[in-house]
Amino acid sequence: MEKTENIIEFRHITKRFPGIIACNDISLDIHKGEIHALLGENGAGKSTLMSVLFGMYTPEEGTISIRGKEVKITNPRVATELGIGMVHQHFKLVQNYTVLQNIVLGSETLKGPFLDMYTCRKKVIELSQKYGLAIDPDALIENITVGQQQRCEILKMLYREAEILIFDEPTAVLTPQEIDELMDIMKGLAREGHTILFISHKLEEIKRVSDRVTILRRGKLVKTLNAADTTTTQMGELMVGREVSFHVDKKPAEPGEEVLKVEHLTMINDETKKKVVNDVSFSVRKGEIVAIAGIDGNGQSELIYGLTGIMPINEGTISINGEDYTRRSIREKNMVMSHIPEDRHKFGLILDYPLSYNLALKNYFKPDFVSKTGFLKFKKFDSYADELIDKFDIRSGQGRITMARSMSGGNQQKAIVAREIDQNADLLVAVQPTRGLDVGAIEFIHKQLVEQRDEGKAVLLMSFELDEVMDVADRVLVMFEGEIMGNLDPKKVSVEEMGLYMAGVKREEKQA
Amino acid sequence: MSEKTAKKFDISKHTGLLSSLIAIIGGLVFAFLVLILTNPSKGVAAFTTLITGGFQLGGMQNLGTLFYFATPILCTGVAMCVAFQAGIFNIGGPGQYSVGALAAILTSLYLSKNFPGPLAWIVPLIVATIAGAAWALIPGILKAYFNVNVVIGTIMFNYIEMYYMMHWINDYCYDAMKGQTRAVPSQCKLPQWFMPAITSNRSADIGILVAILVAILAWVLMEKTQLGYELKACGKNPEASRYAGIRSKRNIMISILLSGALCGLGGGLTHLSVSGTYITMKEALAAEGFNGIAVCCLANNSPLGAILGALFLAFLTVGGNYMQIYGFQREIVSVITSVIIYFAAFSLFLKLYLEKLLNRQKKEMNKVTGEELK
Amino acid sequence: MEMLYFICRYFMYFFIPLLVVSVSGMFSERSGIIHMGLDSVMVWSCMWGVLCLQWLDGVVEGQMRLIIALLFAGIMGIVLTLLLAVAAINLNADQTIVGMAMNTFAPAFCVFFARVLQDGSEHLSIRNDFLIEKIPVLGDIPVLGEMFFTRTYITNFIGIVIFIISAIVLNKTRFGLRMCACGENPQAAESLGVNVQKYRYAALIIAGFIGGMGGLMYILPVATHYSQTVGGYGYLAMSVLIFGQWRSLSLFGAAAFFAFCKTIANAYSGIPFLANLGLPSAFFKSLPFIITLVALAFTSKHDRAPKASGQPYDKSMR
Repeated sequence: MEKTENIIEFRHITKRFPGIIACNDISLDIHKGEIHALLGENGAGKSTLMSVLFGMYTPEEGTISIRGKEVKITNPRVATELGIGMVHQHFKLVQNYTVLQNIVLGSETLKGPFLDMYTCRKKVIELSQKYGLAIDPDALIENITVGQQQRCEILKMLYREAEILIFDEPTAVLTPQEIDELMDIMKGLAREGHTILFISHKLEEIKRVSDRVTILRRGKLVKTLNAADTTTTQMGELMVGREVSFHVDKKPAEPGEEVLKVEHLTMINDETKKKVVNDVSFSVRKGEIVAIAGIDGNGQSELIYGLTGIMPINEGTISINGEDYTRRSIREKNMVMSHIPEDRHKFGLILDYPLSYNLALKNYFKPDFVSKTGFLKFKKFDSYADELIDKFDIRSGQGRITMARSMSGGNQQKAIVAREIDQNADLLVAVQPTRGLDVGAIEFIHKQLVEQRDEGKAVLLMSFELDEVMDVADRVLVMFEGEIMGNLDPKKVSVEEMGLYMAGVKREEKQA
Repeated sequence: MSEKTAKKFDISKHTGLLSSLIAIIGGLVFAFLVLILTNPSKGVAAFTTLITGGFQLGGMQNLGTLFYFATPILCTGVAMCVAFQAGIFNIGGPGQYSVGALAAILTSLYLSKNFPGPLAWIVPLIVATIAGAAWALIPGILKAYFNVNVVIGTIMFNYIEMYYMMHWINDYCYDAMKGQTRAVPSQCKLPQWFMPAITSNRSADIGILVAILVAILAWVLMEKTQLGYELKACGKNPEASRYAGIRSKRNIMISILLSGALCGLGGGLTHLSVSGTYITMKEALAAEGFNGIAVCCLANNSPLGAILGALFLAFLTVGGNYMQIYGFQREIVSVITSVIIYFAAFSLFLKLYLEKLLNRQKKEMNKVTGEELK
Repeated sequence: MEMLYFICRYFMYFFIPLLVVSVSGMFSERSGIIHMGLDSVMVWSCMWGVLCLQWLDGVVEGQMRLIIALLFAGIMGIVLTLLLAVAAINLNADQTIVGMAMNTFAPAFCVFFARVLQDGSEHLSIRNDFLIEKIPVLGDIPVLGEMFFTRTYITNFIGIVIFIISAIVLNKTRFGLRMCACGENPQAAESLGVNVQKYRYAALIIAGFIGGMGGLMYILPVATHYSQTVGGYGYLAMSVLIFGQWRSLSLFGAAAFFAFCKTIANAYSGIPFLANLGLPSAFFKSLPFIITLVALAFTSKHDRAPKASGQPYDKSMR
């Protein structure tokens, strides 16, 4: 490659957080006009490094030079002035503002004392046509798809005439087809002379789109490679530091009798009056893992909320082991159904309760844990907690009395998994059980799910990670706009085909 | 609990106590400045009186007065602790307290004065408790079933109480000569037992003992029982509680009713006291209700801590009353109270800051071990 | 007809302060800070406003005296609101508790202060010569003139102007766009270079100024002396804010609705139909509060409260 002018030079960047060094002495050059990928596991320091570049964190040590000049990037405003823009992993959009308002926020054009939205709008429309980013500038963010929201984020950067574009895990929320589109957009931007920094942990994508790739591990820079000269296996090894099996070992499923049977389930959003879950029917049998796949926001979360009783359902029935559970309370459902919830901080844990209290969250009212007079049996709380801590290797600063808040994400998730699996219920509902965890923890949790299946439990897995769905599940239900598009066998369907179902392009006639 | 547990809890209590102390000192410093600025010549003497609780002027009999002032705010303070721990910001103390007081007065005037022995005062207390809970019922329902902000709901009920109180007094128990409620029959007043002896105050009664007992029971309820586990869970994370099958609506109702009941009891205890307390014909909210918030803030939401908090505030109140001989208004005590609440609002920030200061070295060590764990 | 004019004037007395103070709350909450202390700001600034009126007595005369006092009340409103600003913006405080602290502080301090000033009496008297009998030209318009332009106060018009300006500022200017973004998603605002802390301070300063003026506006038409209370108006204004869903136009309607209830409550004895119902005065006095609760019960299920309001914003949080 001939274009070797350095647009960014990181020198010895070190950034610490309490208890962890997120970036440890990182030095790195970024060439002008390249697509440069940053690869690493969760917590490897790639997002932190980019946040430092974007001025959201100030590093304790080290310097950054942009276009050969050393700069102090103290806040995002400075970064913007230097021509740096960032699409964050969790979009930074104001939900009840329009696309246009979101784009101009912070660099508005004025006419006298008032906003000049007319001029702004013209500029936005020009940009969106130039780069092929079709979008309705007057739509409210809360009403548009995730893909469109991402375009809004990209437009935000272009509107500010950013030259260096940072994409933080941009593909996590997209369908395979949308990912293709994004890749084209990124390549187009690079051709126009933009420099792109692209954070990901998906090896295939990096191989496809980037010119060079830098691999980070535990805050340290491992190596920078030309993407063309390397293989995904090699990148994977460097990322994890050892050889990884991308496959979950499991025997073929031997499904038994039906445990969960859902018929014609419909849920309507109170505010929008839209059917978020539309006439869904399926069943889960003993000894199989059924996955619900799909792009975020197509009714999967609501379906789970309806099943577990967190949200009310409008029509349809739910039966478990042949008994009708449609109108039962959450507590009654909890007796036959374990539930690893989507959001561990919102639902899974009471962060300001100690670990032992959290581990007893589904049991505290049972006779073992509370006397007839209503007094808690703390001895039982302690012994039960110690038992689970031991069995599932939950690590924490002070054992069972550790506040859940001070535990690491992986161990918090382990605690929830431990609690739910130990319920020994016939049905295990696991929602995004590996979100935000590192490879070791993911392996552990996948193993647990398969083990549960082999013990004859019915497992319902909901995940946005297509790899996880393909690897772990015995059967996959794809949801699109509240409906089930297909009941597929992951061994017989390719990822691309799955993508067509997820995007609502393809639909299977017979339903599960 | 193991030794290790006890040790850890000591440290966290330490910073909690420290932040309470800072709040108190902040309040006192502010009061001192106000006193000095308003009257430089008498300010120091007045301040000394304030912080010695007037004991050098009034002697030991002040202990009785102290208990008398501590009783209602201990009840309302415990009430706030229970509600706040359950995540319910019950500001309805004044209304619940006054309704309880009126209920106790009316019950003793019309019903229980002929009841035998202790029933004459126990029955009005029970009615006061129920009345306090009843006044919290509608805000509770509005919160649980209609999602109405509990602060607004309870405040509105304070004002409704304020306007109706005069109407009720006027109709049922008005002493036109004195412009206040009629006196409670003496047989309905609280018994005194040994209290006059230990406080050297002739009108001391068992009110404070009842209040302390209630505080201890509330602590046991919150810390040791299934209900307490559920209430605190709802306060700390309502979504996770729902996920665990805890019925949040029921718990909102229980906590706000319990809180209202405790306020009502406070009103009853105060208005059945031997020293005699009356409701005057004035459109005003009962300060005892709001002071419960200060007690609760001082106590870091712990019913046991509330005992100390209430005694401390009562101590200041006694001092504040004596301060009037220097021509200063006792409202300065409310000013101190407000500063204490203000500091309590960012006590978490203070606590974290203090922890950082105190354990800087320790933190460094933790950091190293934390890295090893990773 | 006389009855209508009478009710209309009464209505304006209650409507204007309610509108102004809820606008003050709107600035605070749209920027992401819950303002439970509106009542205290009213009580506190009202005292300073009244004191200012007393100081100006004989120095300045006529409407100028009122306008200076209003400005002074507004400035003192800022002073008190800064307590909330520091605690909420810099110290990550629990904003509800700060509000309660302010609500405890203001009445107590004002009683204390008034008594110090006047050797024992807490009532501050107000010499009110601000009533405008008739505005030239406008007052001659049939019906409307009688309703709005005779026996009126200049504060009525100031209040309306404040409302209009605030609606424009919030919806049509850069400041409004940025400030409201701070209340909805401060992380997003910060990532676009908007200084969240600065905007929140600005919002609270505006809130303090408007709220402070609202305190004095409340007391002028309805009382002859100041006695450390504004009749729970701050809390009513908060309810108006919720009922008006934090949006300018709905706020106007909500304030009008509550003011109407309050008018009925205060003027019922002059309205034969209501006076003959035989209900106790306590009922009418508490009517606005009861209606507030009923109204909130129907509107609280889905609120459009600013999403970040009440949550301390920590820059270092991921």
